[in-house]
Amino acid sequence: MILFLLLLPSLNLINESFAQKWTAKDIMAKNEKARQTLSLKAEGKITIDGGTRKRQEKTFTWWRQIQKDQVHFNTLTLFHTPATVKNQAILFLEESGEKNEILMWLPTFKKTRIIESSQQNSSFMASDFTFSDITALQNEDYTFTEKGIESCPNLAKIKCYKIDSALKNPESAKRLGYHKLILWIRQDNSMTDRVHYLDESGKVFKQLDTTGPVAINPGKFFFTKLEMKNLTNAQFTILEFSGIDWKTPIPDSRFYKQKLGKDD
Amino acid sequence: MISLALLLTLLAPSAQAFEWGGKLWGNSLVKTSHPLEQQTQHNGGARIFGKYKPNDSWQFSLEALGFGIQTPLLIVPKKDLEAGSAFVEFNQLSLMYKTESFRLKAGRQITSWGKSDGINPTDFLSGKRNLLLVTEDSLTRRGHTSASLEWTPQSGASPWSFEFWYVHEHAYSDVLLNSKLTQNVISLNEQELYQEKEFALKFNYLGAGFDFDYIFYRGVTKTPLLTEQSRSLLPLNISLKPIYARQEGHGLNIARDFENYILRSEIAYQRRLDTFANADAITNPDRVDVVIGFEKSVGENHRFNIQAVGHHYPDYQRSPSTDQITRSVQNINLLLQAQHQETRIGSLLVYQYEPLELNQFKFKFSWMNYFHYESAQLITPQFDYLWTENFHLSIYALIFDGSRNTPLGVLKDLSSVGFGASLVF
Repeated sequence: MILFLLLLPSLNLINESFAQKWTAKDIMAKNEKARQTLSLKAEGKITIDGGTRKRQEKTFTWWRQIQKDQVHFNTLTLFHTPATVKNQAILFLEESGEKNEILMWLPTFKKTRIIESSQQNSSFMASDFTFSDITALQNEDYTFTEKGIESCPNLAKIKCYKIDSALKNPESAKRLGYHKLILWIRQDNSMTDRVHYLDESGKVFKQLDTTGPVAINPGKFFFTKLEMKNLTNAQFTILEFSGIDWKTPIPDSRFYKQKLGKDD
Repeated sequence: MISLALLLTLLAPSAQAFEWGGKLWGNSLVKTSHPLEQQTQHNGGARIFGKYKPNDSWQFSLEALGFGIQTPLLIVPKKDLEAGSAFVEFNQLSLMYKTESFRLKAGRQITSWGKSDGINPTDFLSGKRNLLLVTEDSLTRRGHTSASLEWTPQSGASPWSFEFWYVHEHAYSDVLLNSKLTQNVISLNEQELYQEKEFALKFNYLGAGFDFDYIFYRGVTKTPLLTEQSRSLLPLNISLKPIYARQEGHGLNIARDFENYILRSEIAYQRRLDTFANADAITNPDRVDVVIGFEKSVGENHRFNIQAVGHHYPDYQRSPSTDQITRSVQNINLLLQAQHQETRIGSLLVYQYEPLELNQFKFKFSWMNYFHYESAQLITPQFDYLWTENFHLSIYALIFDGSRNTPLGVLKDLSSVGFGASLVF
């Protein structure tokens, strides 16, 4: 989920005074509100490397749109390369109560497959991101605590709020694959700079770093590069976006389950 | 010419609208049942596909399969495969037009109906390229020449969709006879294809974590019945002709997410509209097939699939001919049509280990086992080495075992170990 928390915080915050004392809940509320208007298409590339792994690359097109409830999102990922996953598609439909749906179109088998809910903490296309990393939980699912202000880990000249994010429902940890998050939220634009994923013992096992936010209309940002490091085995995944189009409306039908695989 | 010009206008060229890909593969199999005979089988070929999509409404699809095969020990219609033969078949050669609600597609098409893995009794329209002793479904599945119209209400937003299918040239499954068992006294003549047209209606509901299909179908059996065409006594030779019996069927497919596992189930009832006294070994070949399966992932790399399988003839009665040769033909059909028992109960267990990294071995183990009355089984272990994203090496085995009075057991002589390589591009 955290990937999406990062993607589009509002620039409205830029003009607001950070001199005043914001609570952690306030900061994250603004973050959540900012990303509720997202609708965009982008070309993506996943690079998997590090540890003992051999480098792998996958390219895809990514469509994302907020649902009518203005809370949840639909996401469609259509892979282009390598040839073994060409035209494979993954549709994420976020639902209330953590009942997200994941459907996968397998062109080789000409079949749409439902992915079991418990697999949302499994790897997304062999990367260090999980399925749940790229869906969005709502702020109401977390208890936020501010842990002070410090230099942003990836941009030292900017100050960041350090936010401790604990899951309200311990049962969610099994599905999400982590027990707690620590987020560094930039003071200048409220974008997330770094995220630590913590296990049950409080040990950090994954780290997400962001770079290259670009402004999109109106007054929003979108990260062009995200790097997820697995701190237990030195593996990492870089997720890059280009050709970001937030102006062309995406028809709702792009995310209809019945349309999945109908071009094959 | 006007139609062609209109079509070309509609399909105005655009480089970005075209995509293509394919696969090259080769396999060499060594029989394990008679090691002293040093029998081998080889198959290899190419699968090429292309899509041309000038706009959101129109699409032209092509998928061709060219393959060579050398398969001793078998007799099949049309070809003598002892020395080797080459085939070119189209899986797809179709034109599609779609709107938000409707999708019309005509030409050569592939269908893949059913929710289960491995055994799909509701996959009424598909045939199987049984000649190819490979483990990949996309190479063995055979298409049909057909037109289909699909409607999804509410401009495509409805969870319901409805499909109508008209099949002009039906798919068929290859008939393989073990020439050792038939002792060179049986020959197969050309089959008479496409005498009957097929129709199907499919209703689909795709809900949240749950979907089901109901299918009504009227068509022909995909595995033909063999009927005696001629016989000579000195020397003894029986000439058989494959024919396709008419039948209709009802199918129900269900898949549901239970959070920790997925239920995938299929039920099919097929009623034969034609029976042939000199070919059918039972008086009433109407049958019910049931598959109930559970699929579960464990961790990142392990996947288990357990299916219970049942086949039943509600009105089972043998009708052996008094003529010995006719009775022999009936017995061949008994195995080809899997009519040798009133009820068969079995299971299919599939385990897959798929590492996320390259330069690792993937492993898949599949065990189809019928244990009721006369046991029979097919075991297929397979190792794949992922050299690169696109190049795989594989070693696999096809192990048929059980009573020779069963469809799996009769293929004992085909048990083999295979070595293969494939390049996807």
